Amino acid sequence: MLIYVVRRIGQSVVVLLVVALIVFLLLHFLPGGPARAILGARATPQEVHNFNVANGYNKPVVVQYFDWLSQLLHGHLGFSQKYNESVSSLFATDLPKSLLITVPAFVVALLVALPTGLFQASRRNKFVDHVITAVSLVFYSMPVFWLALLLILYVAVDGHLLPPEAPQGTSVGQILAHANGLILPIATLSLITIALFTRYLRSAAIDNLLQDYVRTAKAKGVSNRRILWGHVFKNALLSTVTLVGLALPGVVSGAVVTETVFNYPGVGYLFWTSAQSRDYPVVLGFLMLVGAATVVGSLLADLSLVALDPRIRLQK
Amino acid sequence: MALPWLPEETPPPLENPHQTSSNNSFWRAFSENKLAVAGVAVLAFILLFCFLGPIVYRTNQISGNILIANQAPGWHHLLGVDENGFDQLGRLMVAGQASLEVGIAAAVLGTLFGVVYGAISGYFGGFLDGLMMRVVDGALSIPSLLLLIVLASMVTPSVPLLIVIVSALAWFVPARLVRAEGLTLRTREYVEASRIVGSRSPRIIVFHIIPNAVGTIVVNATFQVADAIILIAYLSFLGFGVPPPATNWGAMLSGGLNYAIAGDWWLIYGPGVAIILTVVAFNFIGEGLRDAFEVRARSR
Repeated sequence: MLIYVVRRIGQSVVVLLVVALIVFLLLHFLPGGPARAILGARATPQEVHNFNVANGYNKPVVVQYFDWLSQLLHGHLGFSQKYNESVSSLFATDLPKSLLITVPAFVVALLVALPTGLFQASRRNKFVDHVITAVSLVFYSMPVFWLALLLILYVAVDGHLLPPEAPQGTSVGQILAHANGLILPIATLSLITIALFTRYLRSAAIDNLLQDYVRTAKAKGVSNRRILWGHVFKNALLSTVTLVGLALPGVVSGAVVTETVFNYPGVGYLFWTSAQSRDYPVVLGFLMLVGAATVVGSLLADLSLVALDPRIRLQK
Repeated sequence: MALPWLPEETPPPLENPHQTSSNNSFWRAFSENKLAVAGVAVLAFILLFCFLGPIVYRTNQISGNILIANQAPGWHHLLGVDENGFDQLGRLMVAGQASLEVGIAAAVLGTLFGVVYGAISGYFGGFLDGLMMRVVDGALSIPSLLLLIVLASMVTPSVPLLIVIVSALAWFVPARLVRAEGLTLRTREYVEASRIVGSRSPRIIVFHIIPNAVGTIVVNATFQVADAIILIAYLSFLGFGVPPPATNWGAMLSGGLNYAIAGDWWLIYGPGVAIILTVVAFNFIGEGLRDAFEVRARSR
């Protein structure tokens, strides 16, 4: 098992290096080179040259790559000329605000999807199962922003129940002062995530229900409810771990669109405005952050599975 | 049930014992799947609507009549008028053409590249395979939407460039799938026989590995089209798609955002429903194809 863990960590390191390489290559394929992209189209060749020397862009590419890696290891994600702040400090301000909608959305999605998936599995191929599957499919196929638009239109504009725009503010405290504006963004994210999770959990639960141990339990006279909640539920929780790992990148991109639609000043919105104003250090710093989070997330998910599932542990 | 200890899913007996061709059973399995057939019907309707519709329902999609902007649906304009004065129903058709063309082209291009990449990786195995797959893993670690936004922001958008960018993100999954097939298929006897006779690796890959992975490839390609259509919609909604007057379903919705808050509901439903119907249709077709390929493999 130790060999597996070491090999898995080694794989993750290689993947992380690939992510860093991709972001590095993007930085260098910027139109006109990073100097032009950051200084603007009107910069004189002398300014460009000075910028290159000052930031190490005139060294050989391989040396630049290793410089980039060592910068990353020190936590320097770049410097935004437009905001006149380091990218890391921009993220430090905006990331907590994004977490304020993504984490509750994730938790709500899990709390709703687990029982729904189990319920569907216990009533599989009956009418209720088909209805829930159809509804999930519709939510799963719709673009996040369309759902957000509908919610804004019917709940906020026509119904006047909630504000159409998310609360503005630079700190988490200011945001929480108008917390009812957070409900629609969280609802939007949750609904899509619930649809995704329910599909996955339903098939995981059905796979479990077909196992021999369920047949044995039924033969012993255990009630259906106890089988479902006592045994299948625990095994479905294992799939949840994988789901959490897989869903991380999806929740991040979904959050970008949701924050844009609701005008919420989180890290996703920062990414969008920076992409629009071509503020490449912020954009690429975000890519690096998200890529790293995905790799670490999936590594943690895999390692947790090994720790939680005795069958994997004993096999290795 | 006469034999209760048999597993629940035994294949049904063939009705006509003469009809044992594997391709026949493929089409039977597909046509018996009601959802897949419904998907094909819906897709056919959408294709007719987008490509033949403008011939029947003529509207001016090049210069909008700003005087009638934001009109609610009525007899002259069945789905209303958008903020630039274009008839919404006509625009839905033209936008559909763009969305479908770019989506299908990007998926096909991405699948082609991914299949070759995956076949090479799976057939050779070993260190080369490990390296190639780590590259794919690395690229998959960055959410495609974000990567797409970055790529789109670095270039001036045009339809061919958009196709190339989206297909650059669509090749990862086919690569992984074909690699898995390649790893299994390279141990088959016909591959060994081929090698003994003296075929070189490219020949084996093209004539043996890839044709036997066709099932997986086609099923995945269907899902890739659905994903590509959604990705382009997201990209256009966020403002990175092709510039006006070219439009697609996502771009139509981006205008709708501003006017939805004013209560103009008709700008939202058309493109949204169109996207959902197309994506769901492709998903049903893909799942039907997957089940039909399984039946075909079983009956061989």
